[in-house]
Amino acid sequence: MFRFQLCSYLGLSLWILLSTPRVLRADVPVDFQSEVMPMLTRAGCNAGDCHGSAVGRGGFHLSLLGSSPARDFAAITNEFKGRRVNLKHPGESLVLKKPTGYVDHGGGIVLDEDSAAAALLERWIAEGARETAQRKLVQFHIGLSSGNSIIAKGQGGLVRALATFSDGTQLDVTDRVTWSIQDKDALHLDTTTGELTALRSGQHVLIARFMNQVKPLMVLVPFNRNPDELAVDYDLSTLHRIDQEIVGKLMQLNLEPQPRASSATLVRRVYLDLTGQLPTVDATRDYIADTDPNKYTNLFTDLLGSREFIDYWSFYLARMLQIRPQAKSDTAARAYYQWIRQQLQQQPYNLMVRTLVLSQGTIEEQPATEYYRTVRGAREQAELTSELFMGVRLRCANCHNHPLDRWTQDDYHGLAAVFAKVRQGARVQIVSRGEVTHPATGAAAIPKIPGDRYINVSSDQENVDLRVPFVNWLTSPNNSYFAKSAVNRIWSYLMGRGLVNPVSNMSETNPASHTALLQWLADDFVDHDFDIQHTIRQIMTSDAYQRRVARNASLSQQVFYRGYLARPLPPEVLLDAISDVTGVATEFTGFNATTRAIQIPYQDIPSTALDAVGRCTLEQCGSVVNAEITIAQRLQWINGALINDKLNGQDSFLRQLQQQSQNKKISVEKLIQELYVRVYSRLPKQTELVFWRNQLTEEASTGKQIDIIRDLLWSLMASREFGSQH
Amino acid sequence: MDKRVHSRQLSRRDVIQIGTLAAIGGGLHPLGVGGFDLTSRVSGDDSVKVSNGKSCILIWLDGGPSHLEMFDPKPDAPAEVRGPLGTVATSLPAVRFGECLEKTATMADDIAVVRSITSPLGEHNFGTHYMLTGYKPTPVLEYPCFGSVLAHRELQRAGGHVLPPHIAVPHFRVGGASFSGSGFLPDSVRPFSVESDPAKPGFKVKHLQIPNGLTGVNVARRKKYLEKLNQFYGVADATDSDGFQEAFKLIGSREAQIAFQLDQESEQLRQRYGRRTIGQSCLLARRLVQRGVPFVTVNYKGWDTHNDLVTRLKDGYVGAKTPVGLIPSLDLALSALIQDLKQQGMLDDTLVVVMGEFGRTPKLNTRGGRDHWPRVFSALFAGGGVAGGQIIGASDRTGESPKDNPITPADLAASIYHLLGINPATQLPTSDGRPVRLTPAGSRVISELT
Repeated sequence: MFRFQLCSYLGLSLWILLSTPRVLRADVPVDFQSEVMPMLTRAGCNAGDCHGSAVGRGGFHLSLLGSSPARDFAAITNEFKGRRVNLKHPGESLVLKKPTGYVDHGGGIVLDEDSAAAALLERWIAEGARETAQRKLVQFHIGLSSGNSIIAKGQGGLVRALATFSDGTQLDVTDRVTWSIQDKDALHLDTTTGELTALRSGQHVLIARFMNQVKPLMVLVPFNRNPDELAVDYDLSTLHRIDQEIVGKLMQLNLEPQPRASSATLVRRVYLDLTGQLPTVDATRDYIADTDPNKYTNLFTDLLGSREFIDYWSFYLARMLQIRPQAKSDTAARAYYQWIRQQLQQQPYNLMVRTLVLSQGTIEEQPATEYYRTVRGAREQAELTSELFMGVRLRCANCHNHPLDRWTQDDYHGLAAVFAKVRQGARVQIVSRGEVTHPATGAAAIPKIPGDRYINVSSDQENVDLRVPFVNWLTSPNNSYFAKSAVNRIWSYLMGRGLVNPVSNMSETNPASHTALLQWLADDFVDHDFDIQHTIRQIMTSDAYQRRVARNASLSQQVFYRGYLARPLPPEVLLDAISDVTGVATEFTGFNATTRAIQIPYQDIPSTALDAVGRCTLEQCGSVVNAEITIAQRLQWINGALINDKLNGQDSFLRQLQQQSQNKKISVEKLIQELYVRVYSRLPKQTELVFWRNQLTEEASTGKQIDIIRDLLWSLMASREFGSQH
Repeated sequence: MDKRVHSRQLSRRDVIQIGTLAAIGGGLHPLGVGGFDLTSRVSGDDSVKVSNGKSCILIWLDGGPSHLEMFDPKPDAPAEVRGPLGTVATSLPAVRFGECLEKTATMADDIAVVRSITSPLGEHNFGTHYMLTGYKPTPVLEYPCFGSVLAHRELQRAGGHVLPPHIAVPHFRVGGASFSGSGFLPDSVRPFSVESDPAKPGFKVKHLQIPNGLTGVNVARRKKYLEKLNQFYGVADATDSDGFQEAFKLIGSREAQIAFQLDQESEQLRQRYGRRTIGQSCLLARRLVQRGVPFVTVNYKGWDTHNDLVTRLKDGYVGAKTPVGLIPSLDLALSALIQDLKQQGMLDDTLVVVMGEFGRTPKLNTRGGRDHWPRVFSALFAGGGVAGGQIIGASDRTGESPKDNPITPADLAASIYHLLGINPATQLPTSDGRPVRLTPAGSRVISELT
């Protein structure tokens, strides 16, 4: 059976550790950083809604979750005239009497006076309340003592946290760690004993914080097997690498993968994912009839080489980069979009990003400079860059070290400093002055590669472009964020959900559902020169992509890719599909009549049609593509122009059908088949055919046939099947 | 006398369900304005009484209203805390409101103000989620707002309503617009956004009427076909219709059309509410509640006042002779609403809540504004059985922290549910079938309110 390497390693070392008695000697003084501080965090003293808030609480300010021990030491021992600690009578110290409730405390009683934590604090004061940092934390691991990350529902396991310090000591710190569980109804943890109980099936995350580190532990709780489902024993070694991970996890969870989807389903799926269009009636019929065993591979290979593929994936890139028109003109936005298209055709992803980040000059000289006109300010540029190309959100680290991730204020302001000398105007250029202030020091932030080294700049290098060392690091094959972030986006476009979800939030506390798979996809992407099409090919080749939708499966099961994830079509794609089915194009002000919705470079174009299909503008939802469809929009579908005008249009499909049928009578059955292939890209099932044949025949007496067909066509387009990628 | 009209009975009497129209077939002819002309219509005689629990009008001050300029002024604090605006006496001894709330101040006997709400969440989305659901946002589950919970209950026990049970005026884009409202509950309880500004002349809900070229027969057939197609596709539940079911109901209903016709109200009354969006939105809310809608969210945007309090909160624009800013407009609308509900005999059964996602910083910033401040802020309650004429809880001298009786958004949610006759410990199932309490364990009802 497949097993996490990390966990088995951990289990082993924990086992060794647990078999050796923990050393707690009275002659070793209490350490401030590794003992007192974690205790304060665990008691919630330095949480964001307590003394850890930006201005502290009740005049007592601690750094958020203990990110700055030196400052906290000063706050505890020096501020308030030193009254917080009483060296002569440690028990009288305010820092002890308040949380135990002896003195009125706004936060109530947070420490039991008889607890080990209170005793620790008192002993630390008795020993002189020294700012000791005897040991630095080198490594921090958490795991189940079984060495296995699987717990049966209703059963328990023992969680252990293991810290390795710079002085070589290894300690079981389970009772010092601050634990949190994302889904409290799924797991229960006794934070003193480390006993973990699984309450719900699925994959759940337990997060441990100790000193300056945060670590997640994923726990798998298998589902009860549905007795109707036959267990299939998969030989993982014969599967595509992607399926080894997907099926491996499904087996661990007791979930049966769905079988392969039909030809009709696959031709629609692949067309929509690669071109944003429905297959034509002919393409659908041809594909279904094709007997070539390689027809599926041929299908996506051909489409990857099409112009429509470039159109549609440029749309993804354009939305990702948040192209926006200027108030009076969209010339720059259009040039930028054309540049993106060209890059997608000609350049691997890493080189595209490199050009983008290093761009200089006017929009005419270098359309990519529009990247520096997307947001204003060095900090915002740092946030945008890290979110788009590393998939991480640095924003929290503006005011304090990121509470849920590894990012520090130095990282945030250091990356902002990288962009500080970029002038973001009509001509993007490097200027000699420009810095960002680090709020903790009040001085200019030192440029830094996030999570990595500081960039040394000597004073004579005034116009040095700090973006160069940054982008070298960013797009390097060894960067652990860049490729992962890219393949995670590609995966989410094709599979309906990122391995890390949401895609812009890759963090220590939001681990991938399939860690090894994400790593493999990233490595494979790097090995193939950051070729987007290569990764698409890999994913489309996998069984996971070709499965049937798992109907009626709950979301908690769907996230494991048991079947293909059905999802609403992106609004632009839906609108284009309506235009294609009705044969009447949608017009967009400022664009020629043949422009499709997905070919518009930016989101913020006035269009009631796009509003009605549920798009959202940049202002409404940032880079999120789908808004939810509302009742008001549905009123427009029913009574508004969106569909009605298209159904009645001069050259509409219905008019043509009407003319054809005047020349040659079409049978009801043929008509139904024609509509199904046109709208659903499949032939009707026998039950459907019979139903509609009877229905249409029956109603023929109540109205004109064309009216009835028009109503059916409307309903087909309004239906869930048409509006879904499935 | 309770003048509310019972929408359930009406909908049965009026035979407005489109489904039945199809059976009637070609006997109907198209109508332009006004929907289907059917034999009976909404009776104006108000003879139908209702006592199916209470309704709620939530006036949501989106962006975070300043407690210091409104319900919790600090006239004795230093100038940088006190701010640029004065205060006004209320009908309660020793209780003052911000100067722009002069009309509301005279109604303090009908009002309860909670001055000690405290939350750790000072970001719009997070704060909004917490205030509207009683839960801090988490990545694993989106909780439903109380409007949608009430809508859910209504649909479960009654069903068949014509008007959606949770309506947002003019729309439900709150707290940065990333919040659906219905959370883990089915789409059918998602708030219906009117999407048009009730203050605009000729206000109507767009696309409520069947256009020329289509008839009721077409619409009925489309509805029937759509249901069949979704059934073929395997959509198990007919109410899971992406909003179509609700839309069809609205279109087929004369009653719904009338509910949104603000011009049926007297000019004098419309004037009393104020002709700005907030005023006419409140009036529309009253019309809707009167017709049995259990929850209306009036979304009043623009309260994120990081700069220039005087212009934004009071004057409305630079050089205004009569103040028409955020607070005076609210003052007009809110006082008219309470008075109107009272006159219509609806106040006891209609809970009015006024709040936003957080308060504003005690100290003015350098731009003459105030920034986000969740540590203490206020909310207003009226009607719905609330014991008026009281101030609950208090903030400290500078409006920085709760002084006594700190109340969390979870407590607030529990209290709202309680006032609306719902036990806050009730559990609702998520789509995975797991039961979730309406408000978090440990939340308590503010006993003073009832």
